[in-house]
Amino acid sequence: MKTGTSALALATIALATTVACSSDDATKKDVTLTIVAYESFTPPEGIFDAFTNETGISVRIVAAGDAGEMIAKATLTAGNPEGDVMWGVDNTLLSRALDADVFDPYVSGVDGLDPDLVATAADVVTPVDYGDVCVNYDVERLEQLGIDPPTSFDDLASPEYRGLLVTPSALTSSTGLAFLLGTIADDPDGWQQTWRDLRDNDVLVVGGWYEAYYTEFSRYGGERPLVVSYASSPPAEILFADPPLPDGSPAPTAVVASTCFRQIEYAGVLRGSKHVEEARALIDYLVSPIFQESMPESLFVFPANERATLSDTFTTYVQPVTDPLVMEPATIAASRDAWLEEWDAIVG
Amino acid sequence: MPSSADPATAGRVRLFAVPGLVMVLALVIVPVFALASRTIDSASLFGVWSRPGIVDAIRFTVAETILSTLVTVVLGLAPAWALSHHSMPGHRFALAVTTVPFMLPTVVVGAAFLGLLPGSVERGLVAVVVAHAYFNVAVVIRTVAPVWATIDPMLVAAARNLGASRSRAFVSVTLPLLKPALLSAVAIVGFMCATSYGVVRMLGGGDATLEVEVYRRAVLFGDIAGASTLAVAQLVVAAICLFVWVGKDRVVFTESGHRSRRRDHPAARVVAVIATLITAVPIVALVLSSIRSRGHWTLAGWRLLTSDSDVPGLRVDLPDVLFRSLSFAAIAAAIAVPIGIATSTFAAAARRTILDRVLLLPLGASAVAVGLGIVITYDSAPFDFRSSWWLPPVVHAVVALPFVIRVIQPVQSRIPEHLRSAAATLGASPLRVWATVDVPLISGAIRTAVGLSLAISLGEFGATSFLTRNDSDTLPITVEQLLGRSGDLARLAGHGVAVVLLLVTLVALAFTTRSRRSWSAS
Amino acid sequence: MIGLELDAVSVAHDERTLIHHLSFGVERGSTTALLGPSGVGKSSLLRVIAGIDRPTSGRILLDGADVTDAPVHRRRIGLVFQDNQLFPHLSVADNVAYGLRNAATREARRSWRGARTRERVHELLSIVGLADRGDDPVGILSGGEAKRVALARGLAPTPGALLLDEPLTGLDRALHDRLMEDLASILRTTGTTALIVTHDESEARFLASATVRLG
Repeated sequence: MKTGTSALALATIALATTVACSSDDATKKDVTLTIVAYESFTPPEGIFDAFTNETGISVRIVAAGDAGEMIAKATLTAGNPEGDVMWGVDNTLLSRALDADVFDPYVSGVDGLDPDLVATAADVVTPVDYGDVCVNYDVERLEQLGIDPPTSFDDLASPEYRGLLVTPSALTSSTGLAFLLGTIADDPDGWQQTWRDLRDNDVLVVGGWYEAYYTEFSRYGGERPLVVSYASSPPAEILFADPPLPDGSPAPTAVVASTCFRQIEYAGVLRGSKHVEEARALIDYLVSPIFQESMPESLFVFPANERATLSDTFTTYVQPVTDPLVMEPATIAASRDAWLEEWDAIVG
Repeated sequence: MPSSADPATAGRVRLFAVPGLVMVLALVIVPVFALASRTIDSASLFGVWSRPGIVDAIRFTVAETILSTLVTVVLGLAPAWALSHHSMPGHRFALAVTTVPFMLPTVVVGAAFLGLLPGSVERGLVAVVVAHAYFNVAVVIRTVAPVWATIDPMLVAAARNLGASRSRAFVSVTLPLLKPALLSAVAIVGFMCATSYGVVRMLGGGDATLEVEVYRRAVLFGDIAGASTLAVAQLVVAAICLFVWVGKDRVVFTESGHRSRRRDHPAARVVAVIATLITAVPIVALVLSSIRSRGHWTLAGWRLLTSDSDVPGLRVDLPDVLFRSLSFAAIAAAIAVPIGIATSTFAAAARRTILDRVLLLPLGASAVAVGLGIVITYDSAPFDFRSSWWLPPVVHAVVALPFVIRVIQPVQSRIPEHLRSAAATLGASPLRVWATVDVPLISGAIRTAVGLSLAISLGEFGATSFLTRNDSDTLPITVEQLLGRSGDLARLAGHGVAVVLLLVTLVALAFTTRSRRSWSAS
Repeated sequence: MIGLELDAVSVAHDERTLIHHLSFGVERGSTTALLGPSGVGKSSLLRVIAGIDRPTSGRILLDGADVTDAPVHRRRIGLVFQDNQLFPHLSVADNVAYGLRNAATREARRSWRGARTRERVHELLSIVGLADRGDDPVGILSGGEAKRVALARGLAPTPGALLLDEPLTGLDRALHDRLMEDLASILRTTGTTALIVTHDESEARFLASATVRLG
């Protein structure tokens, strides 16, 4: 019956409304800030207590997929954001966010922020950390094979290293994309040849970082002693080793420094947030030494604040990459699509 | 509900179709079109097709969907036959194990599988098809086995008696009777393969499906307009397939309506054991990966998960995550099963299958588009629930719904009308008839549906990974987080959580009933 | 001439021996009744004779040839099931035609192409009194009609012998008597070697020229 159907429809809508309204919080007295971050953002338990104690503001984190997914959603929700602060937009994605006017401009003035990093932030966001995507190598396996570790992209393309490298695809993995950008930054005019050589040198291209690192990398039972991963992977191998490595043991893996491409991550205030002042205070906290020092071991990234001191493990095992390959976010945005198409044609 | 001529009842029955429809509309169709209307302009509408790779993606999608579905159905027939023998010892276990791969996140099982193989796998169409078959045979088994169980072996004997060889009898008698179930399986498997992302990303090599392209366009290239265009096209094609497919869906059942007395065939046991073993291999690999790293055995991963050890960066509150996953699963089942019963009741009474097909649509939709669409659709009052904690389980319910219906509807349609008429003549109102005749007779199917919904929710990852979660990590998400880190402990712990997910899913599946209650059509 | 012969056939079901070294013969073109109470193993015996199940010992001969090891589809011994076992997805005519279209040998199948099958089906449906029901689905048939179709289907491929499992059980009096007369006349006219299982003495006496008692 018509009456029955519309009654039911009304009931459904009413129910939905009630549920929707009940999730509305934000009273003026207790402000809770929401950080929108990518899935693997797992800061230590209680790291925000100091902030809450000082300001009375609670912090909660919502995860929104990986970095790319997060940005996609952010561009769609610009002006009506899902949170107040975004953590984790990186230099390969920043332009997209800027084009969609996702942020309310704010660059933190906290002491100690690396000025080089700040320079890349387009005066809209604040750099919070950086990491490098580099070729990692399995020390033991290379020794067994009697091969010296490679020192450059050219080495990787040379016959001595034939069939030893595995990388995630630039088309399906942000790690793979970063590696590709590294080759382009290294040789803007000749990177295509580098990749042709890599292809002829039997480079293995897989879907994602997980397959590359845990299935194909020789350290975990695969055949390839060279893998595209992070500068933070070698210290992780030590920290998370089982059985635990005795003090002073040599690192099982290391990076090829000249292949490192710098990924910088930023935090910004989301445009449309109802607590802009509080959000800015939170960003200041995120780049303060307290938070920055907790990052390396929990998030495996390097602090943007030069005043933050690193733990022993990091200083012992991390190879400081002093001269990484870099690329302006604007440059990336302008040519990324074209580069990916070219790369796909060469390698695919 | 009897298909009575009483207009009041008929009207009320129509109401039963509403919840299912509303869910699909609200959570799949509306979001996708909202995303499309917000982002598509004429440039992307036509421009995206000429982007390199798109045409290849379409070709690859069609090829792998057709091949995967074919191979899956063919490979699934033997296990389906074997598992149609309900009284076989270990039947429930075999059924649970062979179904489990379908429920688990593809990355996890796929990676475990790849880790087993010596050397590197040749990635490409073949690998994708094989992987799809492995994951989706469960659908064929679950859909076809119950129907096969109702085919009286004497019917096949009659065919042979009349001169048909075994294969002829199979083709001319058994297959036609299995046709509705087979078509059902083809539809589901086809959709899952067409929108497959994890498997293709891992094993496709350079090839990609349309779903992968949608993801790439939206996430990697920032071309959401292009992605929306593709997603809409994908949905439209899915809808066309659904409604052009199989005009007449008249289901034919054997006369007696009894569950046939299937004698325990020795060959059936062998096939069941083989199928179970094959399915179990990657699962065993998964378990082993949680206690073995780089050649040595260790329980360090499990210790990390079960104790309070605070290794920074690998903090896992397993009981919390487990509880969250189970709560979500319970909510998803609590939504999917009643709506499934309602829809099934409607379908049984109305004798029409169009609603059934509409509810299959979510399986053919792009998870990316749905996720993004929900984010932009439900962002303002009174529908401001895009960040609500309860949204993931509701989305799980939408995914589980077609399976729930597929389990309940065949059983409900087989209830002979005269049973309901008998109840009516004894004074029962239509609602009472439904409660006292239909519901008890489908109680076994309901149990199965509950088990399936729980399992689907526990392992669901694709559609909900786009939804924002507030401190609501589920088991699959925790697995992803841990497996995104380097190091033994990370890998061990990640696989450990995967094993927990596996166990919980197995339990949920084992909860499904062994056999339908048999009743006689007297 | 012996049409169908059993030589020391033993039948077991679920480890229990039901029939022990049974021997008898059915004259070519005649009908023999197999009498006995329920549960004694009559249906099991029929299945063994038809080849659906294996005997534990003994031989089965059709027109002098040993068919004990012949697979069921090559044995040419038809079986009309007690519950008919009509194919629910086929029409009445297609059910009757099944044995022609799916004959065991390719030559046989080829010989039954087209019009010849249609004529034979029509012939048989007329014999059982259902000439105009060919296009009907089997689901709408009454009990008696279904039995007739099952009978027509069994006769269509002209089997060397036809086994009937309680063909008249469960019918009401009037239908029973009418069908019994029809059955006797059909078997006689077609000259079929038949073995009928029944528990009813009077049926046995009416339909058969010889009786074998079990149990």
